Amino acid sequence: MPPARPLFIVGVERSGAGLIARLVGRSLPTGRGGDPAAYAAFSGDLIAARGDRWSPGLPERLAELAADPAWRDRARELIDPVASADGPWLWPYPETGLLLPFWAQLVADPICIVAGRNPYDASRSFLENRFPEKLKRIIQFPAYFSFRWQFTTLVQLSSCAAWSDTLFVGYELMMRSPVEQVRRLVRFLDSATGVSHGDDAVWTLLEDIDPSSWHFRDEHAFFELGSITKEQKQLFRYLQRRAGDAAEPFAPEHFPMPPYAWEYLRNFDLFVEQAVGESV
Amino acid sequence: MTLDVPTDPARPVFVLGAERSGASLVAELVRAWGAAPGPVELLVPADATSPRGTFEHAPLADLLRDLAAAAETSLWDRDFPTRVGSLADDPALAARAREHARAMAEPGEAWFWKEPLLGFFLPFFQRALPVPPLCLLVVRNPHDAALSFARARLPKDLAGRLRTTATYCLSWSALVRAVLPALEGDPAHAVLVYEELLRSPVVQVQRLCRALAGVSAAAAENGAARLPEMFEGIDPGLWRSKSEVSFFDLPQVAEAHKELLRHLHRRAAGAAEAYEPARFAAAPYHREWSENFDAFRRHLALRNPETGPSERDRRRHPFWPAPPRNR
Repeated sequence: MPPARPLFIVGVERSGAGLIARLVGRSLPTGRGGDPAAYAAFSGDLIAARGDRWSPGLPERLAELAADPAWRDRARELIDPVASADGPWLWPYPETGLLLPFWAQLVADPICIVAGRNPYDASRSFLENRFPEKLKRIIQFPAYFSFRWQFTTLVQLSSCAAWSDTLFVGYELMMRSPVEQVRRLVRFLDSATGVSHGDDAVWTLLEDIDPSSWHFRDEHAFFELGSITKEQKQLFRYLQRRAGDAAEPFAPEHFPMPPYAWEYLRNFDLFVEQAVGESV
Repeated sequence: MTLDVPTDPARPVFVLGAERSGASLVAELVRAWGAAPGPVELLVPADATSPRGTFEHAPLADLLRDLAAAAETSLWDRDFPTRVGSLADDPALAARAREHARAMAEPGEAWFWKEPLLGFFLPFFQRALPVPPLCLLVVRNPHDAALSFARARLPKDLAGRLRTTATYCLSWSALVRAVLPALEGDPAHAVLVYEELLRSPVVQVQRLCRALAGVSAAAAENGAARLPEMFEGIDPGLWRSKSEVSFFDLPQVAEAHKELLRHLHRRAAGAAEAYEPARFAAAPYHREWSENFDAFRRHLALRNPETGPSERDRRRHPFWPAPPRNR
């Protein structure tokens, strides 16, 4: 019997990955997630071991850690209880995105759903919900968050874009056309998992979608912001095309990070840590 | 009544250059040449980071702060030089600039200003002053200058954690982008390379003297006799912060900035090369980053309520009143 397939749901913060995880979690009959506390502890250790979060060599470093027997053994302790389920199992931790190059080395034939949202709207949501209040008045955010979004997206896509079963879901499409998008999601899950869901599944999942919860809807602003690079705009358009089912391979060389991005990301995080004693 | 107006009005000398770029060294040479830095009691005192002084004039710093406030936009707004230039139409501000200029020296006597951000305000002074300034733009390897900046201006507990090369390159290039267009059409200016000053002091000081000949005929004649004193002012031992890797080989530096430095080096070597703004456009994230870094510096200075920003820092950017937010 082939091993159960893991299903990763990834996306930058505030991009709708949490919503997708809820929808998928309701539709999968078995195998969810494992122990969140154990996962959080392991992720913390992995993050500490990988060195700088913002570094062009992050994917390679994570792949190296995955080749280390000690790390593999610890990771397997987390995965094995879940992977023994009789069917696909959900890895419902969206922050997995930046660690995907590690996990991708340890699992066979993964399924992936990539949640994407207009980065400007995601940044405003992040600022409102996750950013220290003390700094909101004095710090500007769009360019920083766009670098963060760009790098996280590139790391995720470098692992999953070429997998045989990867679905891109646009948050805005989900909110505007929930019936169509949920049907699309269910069709994908049916095909990838071999488990057939009926129309009842669609209507059940639709209960979890509340378009009135869609705040921060300024989709055009991202393309008009002076602080956004041409490559970032092109990357978001690529995600939009994939969310529209365009069969377009991922070519990371089309979306390079500017050489200065790493310093800005690191310094910004250091500033936040200095100002409020915590990281974001 | 006959006004006692000198027939040979001296052009003021503006020594321009980002922080830690070697502009203080050039200012010292200009003083040795014979230009007045203003009353010594109005100059910012020397300190450990600038042991031979900076020749920065406190009333000028106050004027720049007030001009920045009147421009009603961030220093890092690419329109800042244009907006501050238009302030020359404000009679009160223009009169204040002329009054400061008159206070620097006797009529006809050469004088200079040196201030790291002066280049952003060049369009204002070119219009407001009765005689346009003769500009000396000092350039240094931005990576070395960034290292020096970090040592001199940032808290030691962040040394090694806070990176400054990219941050410095963004602000340095913004200054250069403000200065070069203002110099187009004025042949009486010079680009001086800090490293060349220290490597080839004789050649470079002679070159500086030739540039300063544009101040006035009388000043030029007197200045030529000061060459020995000027040579004595150059101490290669002050050249610290020398990284072993060439700026042009650093992977973390944008190609546009490498090309900008090459352009300045060619001009310093005598190339008649026009400045093409489209080749060196600002990075889209430049303004947000620079403004956030300023906010960071203000926060760091205020971390210790007992000390806060130094007296020197208090009258200087980024401790000026915060500009309107970049929306």
